[in-house]
Amino acid sequence: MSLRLIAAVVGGYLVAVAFSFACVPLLVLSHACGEKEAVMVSSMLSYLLYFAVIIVSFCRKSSVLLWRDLALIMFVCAMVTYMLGTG
Amino acid sequence: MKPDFRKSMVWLHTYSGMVLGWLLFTIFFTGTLSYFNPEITQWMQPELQQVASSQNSVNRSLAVLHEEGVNADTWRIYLPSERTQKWTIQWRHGRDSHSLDLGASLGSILMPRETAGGNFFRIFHYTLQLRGYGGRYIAGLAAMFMLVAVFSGIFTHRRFFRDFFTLRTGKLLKTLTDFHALAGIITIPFCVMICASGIMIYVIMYIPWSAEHFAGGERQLSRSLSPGLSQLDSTAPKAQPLIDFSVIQKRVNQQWPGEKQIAVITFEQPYRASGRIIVHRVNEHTLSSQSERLVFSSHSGEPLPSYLPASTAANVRRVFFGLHEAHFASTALRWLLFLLGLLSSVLIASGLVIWLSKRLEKVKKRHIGHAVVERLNIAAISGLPLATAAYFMSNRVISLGVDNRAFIEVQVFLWVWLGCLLHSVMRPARQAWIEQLLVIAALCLSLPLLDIYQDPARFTRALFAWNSIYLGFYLFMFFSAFLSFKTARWLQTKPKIATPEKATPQIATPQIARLRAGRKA
Amino acid sequence: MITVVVLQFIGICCLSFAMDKHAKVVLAKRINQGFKIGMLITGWGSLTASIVWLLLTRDNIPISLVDWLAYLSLNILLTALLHVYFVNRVAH
Repeated sequence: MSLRLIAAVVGGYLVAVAFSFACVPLLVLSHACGEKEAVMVSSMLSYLLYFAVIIVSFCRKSSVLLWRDLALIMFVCAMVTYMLGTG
Repeated sequence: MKPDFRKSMVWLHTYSGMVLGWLLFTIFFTGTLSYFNPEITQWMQPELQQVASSQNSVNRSLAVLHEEGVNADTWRIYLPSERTQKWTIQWRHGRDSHSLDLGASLGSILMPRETAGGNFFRIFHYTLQLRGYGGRYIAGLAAMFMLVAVFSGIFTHRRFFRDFFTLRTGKLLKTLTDFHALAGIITIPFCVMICASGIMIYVIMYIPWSAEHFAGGERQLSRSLSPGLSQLDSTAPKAQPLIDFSVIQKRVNQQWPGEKQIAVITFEQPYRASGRIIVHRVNEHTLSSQSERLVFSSHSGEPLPSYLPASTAANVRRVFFGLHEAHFASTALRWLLFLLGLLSSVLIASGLVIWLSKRLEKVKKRHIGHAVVERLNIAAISGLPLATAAYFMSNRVISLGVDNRAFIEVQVFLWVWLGCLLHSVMRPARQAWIEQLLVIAALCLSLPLLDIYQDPARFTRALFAWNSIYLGFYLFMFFSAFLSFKTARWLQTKPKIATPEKATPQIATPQIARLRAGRKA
Repeated sequence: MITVVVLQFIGICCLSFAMDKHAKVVLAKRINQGFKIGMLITGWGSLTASIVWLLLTRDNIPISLVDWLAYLSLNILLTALLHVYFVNRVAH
């Protein structure tokens, strides 16, 4: 139970942080907006993700699988940021 | 653990509501009061005069500033509005800042009593009286979990979407639950808007690392997305700031149609040739928190290049901010938002009471946890309005000459609130509710009476001038007194909610049948 | 703005009567499909008319839209309270 709670509150926050990084190069490279604007947009969108993670955290059958998925998302975001972010 | 979606939502709704319920009630209650921030402040400073219709206010302000603020770095003129009735001029030398409140007749200076006013509630609802930024983070977390509670609430009380328009008046618990569902559905758009916009105000502060990495920090990001004016050359030769505002006023009237469109006038470096005047428009025309601005030279009145347009994302954030504060709202909309805010507060309060009642129905023996929740319920739900009434009372009771008057008023609020908690611990729960509600009724009733007793001329003046803000405050006090009193009487006469010892079913008394909507003050 | 709010109120009321349970309670009779469709059309039509009127007659559209959404909550509240009132009056 407490694993879920931590997944929801802390894990969700970490996913939001990761997303706020990863979304920036995605927006910039797709010519949606400039870099600074992309930071603002990504930050705003990351809260939607936080909300979704909280809801989903309490719906998954297994908290282990939940953490696995959250870690996966953070990893993907980190990869995106690292590989595209310095462009 | 909870494979069923609906079951998970029920669990989430119960616990997110329970853990943060008291905090959310506090934030929503003080936040709702903030809709009438200037009006409350006006009532708390009865020495203010009706200055909103003063003629020639800008030039008169300039005359005073020329006298008092010689060689200042900044001048500022806050023109009065119907809501604030405050005409303030400020000037600053470096870190040294001074201000004066001007009166309606030529040359008069007002000295309204020192008070935090309605602004106390506004600041309280996001700082929670904590130092530094802690309160903002806590409020942000609360906002996020309120969104979770609203979302999960839709599924928890899904049955009520179909039974929506019913309000069973038999048992207290059923009445409260129906009312909770009704209030919940009606306030869904309002709560979602308030919580989301609240989070967006501090969108970068809560998750700053992306901004730090890509843009060099929140301040830098803000400067690039919403560019300010160019840096002022503070070594420019000296010059005299203008005396007659009419040349600028003409330009303003061309750009901004309508009367009294100026809210604030700022002079940056008025005693230099490079100095500028920034004219801020009133907020009623845009959803954005940033109202329009025009820039002029401070010694010649010539228009200067204005602010560059902010980026779309920054404007989106400003619209969120503007929606949250609702400065643009007309009186009707403001009262409607106030009503929705009160409904949301009652929603949270009823949720807390329902949680406890349901728990008490199920368990065989009460334990300390229930007692704690029960007491916190009382301290928060009736204690907070009681402390608010005490705050208003202290404004009239504390004498004018006392040092740190504003600080003392706030301390009264905080200590009375603590007192409510102690009271709730020392008395049986039902008695504590009733007694606190009766005290609220007494305070709210005696406040207008005390006010009239202190200065009858004040009241008659307000009455004959039809000062709707002053009279509206009185009416709301009477209304709150009435509501608290009725609720206290209702609690006195109705049977208890089923306790674990009793096994008998509820008996519907005539009082309950007459009641259409159980509403806690 | 009054027209907008009234049209909205009529719309919400009609939509509430299109719901079986509420129509049965307030009108004290079963509703047939035709009545239901009629109420749905009137309801949504009235809400649409309310928005259109707002767009045509108001100066500041964004602020007026915020007004509209706020009044929507109020009208839902009023309709709900009316239904509660009628439930308590109509014996069933």
